[in-house]
Amino acid sequence: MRLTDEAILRESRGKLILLVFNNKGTRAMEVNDSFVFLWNKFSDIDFSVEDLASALVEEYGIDPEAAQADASQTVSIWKESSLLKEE
Amino acid sequence: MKLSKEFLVLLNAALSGNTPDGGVMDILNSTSPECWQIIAAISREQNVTGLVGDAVTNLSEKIAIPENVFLYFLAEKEKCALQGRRMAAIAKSIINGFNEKGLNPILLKGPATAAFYPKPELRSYGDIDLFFNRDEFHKARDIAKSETGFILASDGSFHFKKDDVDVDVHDKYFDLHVSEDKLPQVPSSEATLLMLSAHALKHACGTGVGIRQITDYAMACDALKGEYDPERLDEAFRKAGMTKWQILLCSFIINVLGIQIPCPGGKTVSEEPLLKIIEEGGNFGHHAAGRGEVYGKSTVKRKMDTFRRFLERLPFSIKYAPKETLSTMLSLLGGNLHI
Repeated sequence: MRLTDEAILRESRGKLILLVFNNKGTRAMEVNDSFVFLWNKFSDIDFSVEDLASALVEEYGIDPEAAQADASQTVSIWKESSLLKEE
Repeated sequence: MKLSKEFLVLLNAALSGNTPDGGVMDILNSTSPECWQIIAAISREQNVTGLVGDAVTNLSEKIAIPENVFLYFLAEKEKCALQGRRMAAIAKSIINGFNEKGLNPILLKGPATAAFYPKPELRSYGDIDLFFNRDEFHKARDIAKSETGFILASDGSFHFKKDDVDVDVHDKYFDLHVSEDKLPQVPSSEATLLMLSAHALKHACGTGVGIRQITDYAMACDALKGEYDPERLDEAFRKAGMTKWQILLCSFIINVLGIQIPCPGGKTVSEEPLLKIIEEGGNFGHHAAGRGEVYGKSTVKRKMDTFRRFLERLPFSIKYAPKETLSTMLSLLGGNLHI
């Protein structure tokens, strides 16, 4: 899978904001540090849920099982929010 | 919709490239959440969300802005910047393409003015207008015909698409009926300013003009300071029968936008007649009462609506641009209205 290129991250007024521009219109959503970490690391490359989990383990030193669950949840959210490119 | 003082403060900040401070901050400090919603609505109506968005998102964090309004402006600014950069790249590639074939197009209207703004990418535009001199116009048409296909308009201009962007190609630089031989040489700073003023005038006398066409002139006039001769420019406005209009336009820019530019004869007048048109219909009059109802309707219905609006505007047009108005009426009688 691959992240959409119709979105950009901005920091404004101390908040991290993802702006999404697609055929459904424009959306702005506040995101957290771990989202930004994953977004920056996996922009413009193909990746799997396992890749996300490994990155979370490496960056935050969390338990691999918890990382796998977090990664799966993150992918679900990205799918629901149309943040993944159509395959 | 009336232009609020808060909207004007933010627009001015974007046009000057400065962050609002001092007394201006006091105005924004006491701005209610409802008022912020109104600022967003005016910006939308006048099609300056990118510019105002830039000012809003650069305000001190001490100023409380409703989150939905702040996010709206942030998104609008970024969307506008993305679109602006894309359009600039497309315009550049079209111009390069013609240059390689020995032709020299000149940008008109929106694309021509973006460079005069502190952040060009925030002056949004939806299509690209190009001008070729008479010698090159037919060659350009042949090139467009062989490469993209084109549509010929009844006013002699032609139209093609490049990367899904509408490109209109003209053999007239000025939106005026007066002979171009009497007007400043193209390209020149005087010609650019006359072209922008005439474009705003055309819309003011037709379906309506928004503040963006006015800021275009203000930004160009400010950026070209020292590069044009004010007396020669005034002379060009006189020859085009536009002096009264020009005084009104400059008065609006000085009194409402707070940008100091030379005004013909050095005197200003009340900006009210132009302010009324701008507030009535917003960008190109798209938001005027009843205008939305004709969108998507037949060309005849839209033309009839344009004609009705032209008639309603006659007292204004006759007062501020009698020569142009008379020529437009003669064109209308010839069944040749292209607004």
